[in-house]
Amino acid sequence: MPELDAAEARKLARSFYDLAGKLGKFRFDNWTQLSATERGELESLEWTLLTQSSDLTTRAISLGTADMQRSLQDISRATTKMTRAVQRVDDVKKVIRIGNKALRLGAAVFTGNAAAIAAAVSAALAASGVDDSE
Amino acid sequence: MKPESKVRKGQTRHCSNALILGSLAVAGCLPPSEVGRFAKSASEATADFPPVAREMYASCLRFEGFKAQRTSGWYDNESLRMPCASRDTAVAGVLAANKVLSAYFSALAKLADDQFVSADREIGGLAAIVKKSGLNDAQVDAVAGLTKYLATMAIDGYRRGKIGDAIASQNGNVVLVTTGLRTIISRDYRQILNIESRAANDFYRSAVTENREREPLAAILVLKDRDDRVAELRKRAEAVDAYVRALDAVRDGHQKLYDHRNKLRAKVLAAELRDQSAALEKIARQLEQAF
Repeated sequence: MPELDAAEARKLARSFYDLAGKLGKFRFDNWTQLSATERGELESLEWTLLTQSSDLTTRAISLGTADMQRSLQDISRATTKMTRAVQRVDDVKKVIRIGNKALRLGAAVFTGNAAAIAAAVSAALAASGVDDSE
Repeated sequence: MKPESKVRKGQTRHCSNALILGSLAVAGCLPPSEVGRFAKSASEATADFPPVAREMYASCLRFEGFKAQRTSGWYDNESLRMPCASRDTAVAGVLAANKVLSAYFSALAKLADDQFVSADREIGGLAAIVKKSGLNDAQVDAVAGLTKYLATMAIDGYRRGKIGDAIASQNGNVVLVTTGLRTIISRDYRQILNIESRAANDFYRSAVTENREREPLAAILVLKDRDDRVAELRKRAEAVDAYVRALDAVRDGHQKLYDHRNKLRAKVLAAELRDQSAALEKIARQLEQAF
């Protein structure tokens, strides 16, 4: 038997659901004419049909998400690229901060202040290590 | 059985506010700020999805409960979970799909945020350093101003390209996924609610019909319980409509960004998206009440 697709599963789910409804209506419309055993059998069949309808609906959901998988993978890759772009902008800002520290070093050397030079060298070293490669 | 936890009220409200698309204005290609506003609210709208999805599993538990009471007379939590295991797996798949969509819009919002590309703070630090080098105030301001402009233009140009690439390359996928989720909510979740409604009605009607003559007062209380259940289901059905419209707005908004990606005049785009903002405000209120 061929596998159902999502649309077929939904259609079958609807059919079972409608049939359960018809059986229920028959049972209640003929309540007093039916024996307790007959009512019990009809009710049991209704629950079976509703359960089938529920299971087929679950199958339709699973098939629906399976159909999306390729697109979801593409979207995930695009998200990764954007996240990388965000990181690169952060890296650019880091380069600017390093530039600040390099200027501080230059200014410190210009003043001839040894303590200021030492502090500026440390800061510049701490800010290094940025990967700005594409 | 209690309904799933409510949607975060602040989020749905924030969703509608952020999606006020009537104020769009484009100069040149898609303005990042407008893309960011849309992406942020789309991200928040997709964040409202998990409680809706989890309700599909909760409904299975309630259905199995009604069935067990009528067929065997008894049930416990474990006996309800087993027949609902495949529903749990299916819902997990739906949640995973929604998470991918949400992450996409979140990344797009981050990239499009104008505050994010600003290097003003870093440039401000540069100005303070340059002052110590002996330049006067006017010269320092000029250096800082020029550097700010160049840095912002460079960063902005880079990120506009990335935003455009994402929207252009992913529109087809975003439309497919939002349409798929929409079908699952509008068709499958609605069918799930219909099944639960029929199960509830059959359960209560059978119980009342069997026992009305012996216990007429109990029948009145049972019918009240039935009415409460029906009202809850109706509220959930209304929430389905609301969330379907939210998904439509997300899909259509992304499509419009795609359609207008090369256009120069934003007023056209703003006018076209204005109706969606009003719809989303109403949707947000409905979702808050339902969940």
